[in-house]
Amino acid sequence: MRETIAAILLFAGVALELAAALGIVAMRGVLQRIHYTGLAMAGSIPIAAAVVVRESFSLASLGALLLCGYLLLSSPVLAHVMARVAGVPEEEKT
Amino acid sequence: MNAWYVAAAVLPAGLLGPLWVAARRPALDGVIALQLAATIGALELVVLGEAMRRQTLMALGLVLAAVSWPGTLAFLRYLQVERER
Repeated sequence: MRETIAAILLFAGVALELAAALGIVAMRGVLQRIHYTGLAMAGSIPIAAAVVVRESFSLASLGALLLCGYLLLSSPVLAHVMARVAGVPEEEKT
Repeated sequence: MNAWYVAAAVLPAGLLGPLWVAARRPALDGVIALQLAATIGALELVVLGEAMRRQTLMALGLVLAAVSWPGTLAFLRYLQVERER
């Protein structure tokens, strides 16, 4: 039962990562692409949850949780800096 | 072969999109794509570490995520200086 729940969470996370990769190719322009870094960050949550479900609270699950927490903290900061560097789009300047 | 190995085999396919954007699109789009690729790479190491039950791979994923963040910031700073010229 535990393995099944972990597998479901794992594939949900993998699906989110693949959707983010597809989105970054499909979108046009920097500001649209930035949104998909957030989706990739969100994909780390079910993957970390899958490790916790499988391993319970251990050193392995601590690593996954640390990575997830780090991505949750760092990704919005990077998205903010990317948007600042991208600046205002041309159509909004007029 | 369990679900973790399958996921570890499928996840690298997500690197193709960001790498294509990094190679073919302007520099700032490429930096965003590389950040996404680093996230996917770090998660791939976590999944592979869990599949093989090797915690060193998980630590490597954590290090990759930790190192890619200041790297991306440095790239962005460089691009900002270039744009302001």
